[in-house]
Amino acid sequence: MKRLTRRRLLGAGLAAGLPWCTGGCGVQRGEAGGDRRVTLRYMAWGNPEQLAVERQIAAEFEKRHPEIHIHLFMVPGSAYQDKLQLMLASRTAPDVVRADHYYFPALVRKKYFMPLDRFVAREPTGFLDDFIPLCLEEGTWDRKLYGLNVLFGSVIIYYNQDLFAAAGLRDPYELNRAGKWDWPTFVQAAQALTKHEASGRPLQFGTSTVTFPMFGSVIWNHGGDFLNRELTRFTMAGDADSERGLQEYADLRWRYRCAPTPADTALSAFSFESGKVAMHWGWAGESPRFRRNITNFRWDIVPTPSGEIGNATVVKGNQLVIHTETEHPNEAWEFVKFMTGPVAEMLLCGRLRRAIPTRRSVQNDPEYLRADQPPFHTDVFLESIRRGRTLPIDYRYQEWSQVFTSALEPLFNVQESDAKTALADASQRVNRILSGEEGF
Amino acid sequence: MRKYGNWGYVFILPWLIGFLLFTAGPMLASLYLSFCKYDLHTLTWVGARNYEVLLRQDPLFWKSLTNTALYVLFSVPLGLTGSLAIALLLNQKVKGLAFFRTAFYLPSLVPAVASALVWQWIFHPDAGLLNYGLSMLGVKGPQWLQDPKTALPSLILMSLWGIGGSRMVIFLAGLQGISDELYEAASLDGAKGWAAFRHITLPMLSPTQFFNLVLGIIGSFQVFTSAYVMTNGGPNNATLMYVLYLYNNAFRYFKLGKASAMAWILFVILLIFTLVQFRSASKWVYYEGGEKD
Amino acid sequence: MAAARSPRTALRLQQAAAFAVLCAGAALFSVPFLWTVSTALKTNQQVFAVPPEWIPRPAEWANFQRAWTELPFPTFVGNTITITFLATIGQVVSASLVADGFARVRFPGRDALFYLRLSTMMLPAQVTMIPVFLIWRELRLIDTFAPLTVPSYFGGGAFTIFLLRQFFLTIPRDLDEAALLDGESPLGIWWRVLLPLSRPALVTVVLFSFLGHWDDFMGPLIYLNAMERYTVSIGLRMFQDMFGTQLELLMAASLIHIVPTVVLFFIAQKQFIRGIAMTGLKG
Repeated sequence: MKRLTRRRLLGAGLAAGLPWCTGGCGVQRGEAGGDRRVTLRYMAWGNPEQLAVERQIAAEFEKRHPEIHIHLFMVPGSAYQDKLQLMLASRTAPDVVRADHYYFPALVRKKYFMPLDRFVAREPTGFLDDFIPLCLEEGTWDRKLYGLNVLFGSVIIYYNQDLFAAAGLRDPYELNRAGKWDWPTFVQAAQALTKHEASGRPLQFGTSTVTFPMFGSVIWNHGGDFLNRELTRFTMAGDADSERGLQEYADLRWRYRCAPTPADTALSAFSFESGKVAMHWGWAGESPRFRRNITNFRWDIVPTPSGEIGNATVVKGNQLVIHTETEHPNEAWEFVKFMTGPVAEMLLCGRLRRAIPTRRSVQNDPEYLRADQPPFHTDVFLESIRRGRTLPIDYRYQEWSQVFTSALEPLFNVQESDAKTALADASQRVNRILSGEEGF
Repeated sequence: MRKYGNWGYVFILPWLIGFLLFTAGPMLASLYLSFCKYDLHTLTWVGARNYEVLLRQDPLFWKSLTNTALYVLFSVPLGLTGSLAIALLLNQKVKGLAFFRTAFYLPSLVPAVASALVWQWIFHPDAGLLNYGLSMLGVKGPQWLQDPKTALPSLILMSLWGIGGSRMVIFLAGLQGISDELYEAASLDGAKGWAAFRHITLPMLSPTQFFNLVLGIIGSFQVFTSAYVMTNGGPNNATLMYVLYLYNNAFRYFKLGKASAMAWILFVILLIFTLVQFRSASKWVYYEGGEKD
Repeated sequence: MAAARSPRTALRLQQAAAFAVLCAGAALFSVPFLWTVSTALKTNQQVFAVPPEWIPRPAEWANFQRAWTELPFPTFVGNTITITFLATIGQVVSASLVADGFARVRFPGRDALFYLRLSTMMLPAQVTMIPVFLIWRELRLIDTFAPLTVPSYFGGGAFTIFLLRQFFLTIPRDLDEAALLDGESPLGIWWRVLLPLSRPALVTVVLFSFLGHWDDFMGPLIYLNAMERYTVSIGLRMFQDMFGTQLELLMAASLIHIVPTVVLFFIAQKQFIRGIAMTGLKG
């Protein structure tokens, strides 16, 4: 390396700095001239695998719409929300954006997104009838449709078929078909599948546990609920059904001892992939990962268990929205329609099996139903949607859910509390947030 | 001190332009926002309401401030001492110096995402390296990040992995700046080892120490990344750091007014700390260049 | 205690002790790094093995190739080099000039401005992010390298200025006076007197500036949109997914990411060592 001399430093500094200082901009902007196509900017998050699929969908779209070019912005998922909010607040957001439903209600009320009703009105009558109502429900605000669902999914149980067979237990998929896949059966199976060394060191766990809101169905199916219908009041505290449901869920860890503690799960020591957890509660979107990582046992899926009161499952999607500031609303709608249409859904849901179709026509398509790799029970995806219930996500969700989750930590993570006490603790704080008393 | 008047402004002109262009406006904007309700869309003046809520009603504000104060209290002195010790060792004339310096600096080069994953493994109660080491000594290790009692100490411990980083290099550069003649002269007077360290190294290094102390406190009060990627403030808010809570308010809860108020409260705290340090500096910081002003 | 022995033996003992401590320390500090290397060489299945194996057999060298090719990493590296180079130069030149002004020139309002500059570090960046972003939007420079490099030319950040000022304060002022008598202009003193004497400090600043920009994530994340302009730090995080991180690829990419910085650091060491000889000019 040459020595750092002052002259070199200054020379390089001037050479590099002058163009900037004089207002020149060294970076070529955007697309080349001469291209007559409309460039539509589309932003989503994802890993390299997702990137490849999005590119494929964009290419299919461009084939059908030669006048439009899709400029894809792919952002790391962990930082997507920060970037999106900054772009929305500064009115620099792309034309079409994928918004996580956890944030959608908070964003839509700021009028960042274009209502889709006028586009829908131009489509053939019955255009929306092909979509399953739950999906439209998530994208609707103030009685207008603002987003169509993508990456739609439910919480299901991935289970290790080899471990079930080895323990001589009935296959949960069969039990579910026979209408016998309920909470007590699930707990029994989880206990039977748990093994400890003589020293008490765990060798294998029956089930994993999940955090709020993924365990929603357990509360619902025991007859409880999180918030009131208007999402203005926390209703779990003092409600015997909610308390019982929550206690049952925490008991998987501390009383039935069939679920790993957070300490056990850290670093994937007890993960589904490792073959040491027989049942894994997870989103439909986790299946590509399992297909990639699992080579040494058979696995498939089953819905989350039903309870005395009901058989709901948790569903959640993400919304594809059009930015209010777009200069190409019609082209943007064409793209939204395509992304949520049969071709794209078949790629995402049929090929990658990353999500569950939002369109009935795709759900009933034999090509979607046929599976040549796990999970083979494609019907479980569809059943979980039929039993699906949307989550109580409103514009204050981020704050109250975080407070709620940390209030449950003594119960779930260190066994220093029972459901009744934890919920009483949570109640006061959550209600204060819901009443808007925590600053602006 | 050179006394050629207006030349001073020429020297600082780049900074002055930059300050006016990119810093002053945004700072004033955030001050204004701290008196508003701002959800990234609509802006309403609410007076001192945000400050009132924070100081009087928000338990998490105080929790995060206490957590952060504890973090600063331990990580700054431990970190400074550690960095100085390593710098002193690396200033010796031993074999393989370049290798050692790189080895100690390495932790600062590993990207935060990767080192977070590494540390999660180190702190793992069962399979982790730390508890494995402790079990060799016959001690049953704690739950580290999973236990509210040990989560904050874990983050402090993790911060010490970086003592071979930038602070150490600054110390090292400071040590390099002390001329050998001083030591030789002292040696003739019989001052060696500890005496030389106390009477030459420490005073000559005091500007460097001052620098590391001032910036260490400012930096540690703003600790964010480790808590954000390792624990996200848990368990039970035991590692909810001040800036993490600020960030949550701004980018998760859409409460930019409240976040700005938090920023300005921290600003005042740091300003007081820094002013006190500058005041006391004349008592222990030694500038070879003579009068400071 | 060494007083009784000959100074030679004492020195040797001291060096031997230092060497031993350094070996132990370096080993301790390298453990997390070694795990990074080990993970980067594992297959997906080996990553989940408990207890973890230290030396994966067989080593999965293909991870490096996969990390390099699954995303356009050559482009990311090129962008990172460009941004880092442009920003580092600007930062070192402008910060040394400004620091000289603050350290060695007296002018009215200097101290007030100095504290003002220091105080800009005390406000968490999270709350000024949006206003700053708006300025760049008004300049129509979003999705260019400008927001990531141009600010370096305006003083180069409070940390760098503060650092250099601290160093400049330790250089005897008689040198300035002498140069002034020789007819040097103030800028000439900066250029011909101060900078040559500040070599270790300048190397330090170049190093920090380089590393700071090389590893910056938030800046590139918010200002760059098109993947053709992404930096390595963004690319790394794309291996992280909400449904599970591709640990082995993330670690392999991280190692590729730090190679240039490790090399630079190694070279900077030599500059430090040479710096000892340079300070002979002093006094």
